Amino acid sequence: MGKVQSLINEQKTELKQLLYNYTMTLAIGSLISVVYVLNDMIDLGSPDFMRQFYTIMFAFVIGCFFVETFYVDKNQPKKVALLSTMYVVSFAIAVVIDLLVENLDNLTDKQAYYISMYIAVIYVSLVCVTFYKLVKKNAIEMEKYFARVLFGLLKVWGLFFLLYAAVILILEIFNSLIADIDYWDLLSRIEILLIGFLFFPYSILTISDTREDNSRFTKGLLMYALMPCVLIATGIIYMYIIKIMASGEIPSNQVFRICAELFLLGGPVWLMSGVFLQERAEKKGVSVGIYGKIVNNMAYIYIPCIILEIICIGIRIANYGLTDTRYMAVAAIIFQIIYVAWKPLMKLIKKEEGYEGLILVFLGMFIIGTIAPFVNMQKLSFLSQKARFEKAMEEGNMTVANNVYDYFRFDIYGEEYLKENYTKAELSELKEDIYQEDPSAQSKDFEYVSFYMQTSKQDEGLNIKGYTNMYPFSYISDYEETYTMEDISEMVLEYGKNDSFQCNFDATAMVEKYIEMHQNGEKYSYEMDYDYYELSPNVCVVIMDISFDYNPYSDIIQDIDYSGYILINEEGHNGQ
Amino acid sequence: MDSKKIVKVPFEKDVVKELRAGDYIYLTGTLYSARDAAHKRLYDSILDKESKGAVLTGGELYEEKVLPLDITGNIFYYLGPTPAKEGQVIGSAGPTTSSRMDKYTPLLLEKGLVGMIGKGKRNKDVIDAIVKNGAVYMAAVGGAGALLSKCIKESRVIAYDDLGTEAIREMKVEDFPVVVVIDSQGNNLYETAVEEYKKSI
Repeated sequence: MGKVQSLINEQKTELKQLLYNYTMTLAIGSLISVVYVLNDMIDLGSPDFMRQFYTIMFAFVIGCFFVETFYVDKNQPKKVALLSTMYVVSFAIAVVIDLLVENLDNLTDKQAYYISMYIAVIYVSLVCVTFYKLVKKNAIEMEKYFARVLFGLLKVWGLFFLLYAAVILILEIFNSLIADIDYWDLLSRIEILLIGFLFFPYSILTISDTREDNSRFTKGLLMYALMPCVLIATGIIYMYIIKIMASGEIPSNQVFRICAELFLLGGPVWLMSGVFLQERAEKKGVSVGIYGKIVNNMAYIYIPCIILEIICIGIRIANYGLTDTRYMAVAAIIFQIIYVAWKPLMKLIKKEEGYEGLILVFLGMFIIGTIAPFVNMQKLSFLSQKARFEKAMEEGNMTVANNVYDYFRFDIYGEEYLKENYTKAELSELKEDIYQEDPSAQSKDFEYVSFYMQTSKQDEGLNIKGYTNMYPFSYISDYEETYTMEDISEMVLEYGKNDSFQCNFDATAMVEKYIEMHQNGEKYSYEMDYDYYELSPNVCVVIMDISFDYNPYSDIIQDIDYSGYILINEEGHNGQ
Repeated sequence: MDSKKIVKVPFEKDVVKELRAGDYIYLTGTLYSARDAAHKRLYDSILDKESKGAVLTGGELYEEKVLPLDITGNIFYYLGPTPAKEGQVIGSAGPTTSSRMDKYTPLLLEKGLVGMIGKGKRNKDVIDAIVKNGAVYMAAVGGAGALLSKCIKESRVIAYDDLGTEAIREMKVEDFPVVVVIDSQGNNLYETAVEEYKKSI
């Protein structure tokens, strides 16, 4: 009983301390969960208002976590004025960010991209700097800190799921024995409250205060289960290196991904295992042994993998230029090199900075890659592709030019470059050259245009005033049948019993209208209205459903299908 | 008209053979939504694969990742639903005109598709393929999308999510009302019903 009491007292003290340290963070976390549950029961506001509320609150809670990590010290009284100012600033930033996010659609692609990146930089910076501060505050090596946090969070998850299972059990028993209730809604609300009031505070506690050393199980799991897996994976990559050296083949495209994943997942494992093996050896007063030496030197053992990554990405960049993905790959390689060189580098400059310094290195690289002028990934990738494009155009290498062109179509700088330097006719000419070289290339450029109406969504019925008869019709083209704009102007619609009646339909206006709607971004619109085309005083075509493939370069239409009604006066048949 | 039937989908063995044009049935189980664009992609994928090698079954095409689902024994509902409102499984879920899918249907039936739900007539090639492959074509009530959506209890996109509303969805349905229009023997309600009506007057 004494043990339980002391455990409860310990928990109480810890939670009190947590509440003191992270008052606003916890309050906002709980508020989000309560509002979410209440909104599920009674509408607290319009969906737009609630979305704004959540965006602001999530942004604000990150700001509060940062502020309280930096400006609250458990051993000193709170500086209320300073904290209040910081809360107000954090809230104001959160509101501005929400306004920016809400208005991204009204901006150009380039503006929207950079604003998104600035927002990302703000929050990635807050998170990185907060973690850097937490490692320093805990006064332990980063490897130990992350091991404690990782396994602490696993414990919190375990506790959360146990409680959740217990709630399900209670509701199930109540449902079976007392009253038949539909408890799934109730359960989802309880789940949100558990997250807000239990999972979130305990996670903050785990991240912020890692006094508790890792258990023997945790250490054992890392050193003797996960670490051997990392060694086996590294061994396989070594075998692959020997294989490609023997055969002289180029490294597979997948090598980079595999090595990067090994670094991402394996790096923390060997760092944490290294610390624990060292700790264990020191306790016993023995050396770390061969296994410990291997683990401690994993950073150097990993060097051939970095070389392999450099070869792999280098070949791709030399052949196909730089792209966003390749830029990120290069950045990842640079980060790995800095990691490997970190300890020797710190020794060289005689600075006692642990691996937590890498958090700031990562942040610096993230800022450079996203928003730094001239060298961010968008800009550098564009410049590289632009050089390829101009060279290919000069040399008449249409395949390369087309590849770059397809890249530019979805690139913020590329799109601008094409608009400024090439007319639509020139681009169509480029495409024509490509189609001549490779006819199958045309199919890749078709855009699917599709609009249809839902009768249940229409306020008014079909207007048939002035006509005596109404015939349903469907125009279905053959598979991959192509039409020029001239063909579209001379379409023939068949209707009536056994399609015995016909009318000529110049569908140009209709097709152009839907192409324009598609190009304006109204893709996959569901609420198209009845679309009337009066062909003569006696005949009117009403479109309710249309789909086709459209090539914007050649103005070719393919697979056009549309249906609706033909409204007609008796004298309008065939002759109109 | 035959009596009402509650039928599990995908169909159990020999059920398709027992269905007759004019049967008013309720489907319970799993259906897949697919409209024009999804059909074209499935069709193109099959042609592309088979132009390079041997003819494959629906199951083999799925195993080789040519198709995003195994169409064998399954049913397509020609549907592109509206977006779901908060609290709804799916938006309005009425059928689209089936003839748009006619050019793709015979090949899909050959690959194992066993049923289709849409509205309106089918062409001769489709009817022949239905008979040849022992399949069935059913009609759902056009314009009753909101009502039909209530029979859809779960819905999730399983393929071609870039097509938005025209992506392929897996849907769990309960008592979903349809009329058998073309049965596995080629009886066509659009023809027989007219004849019967004529006789009755």
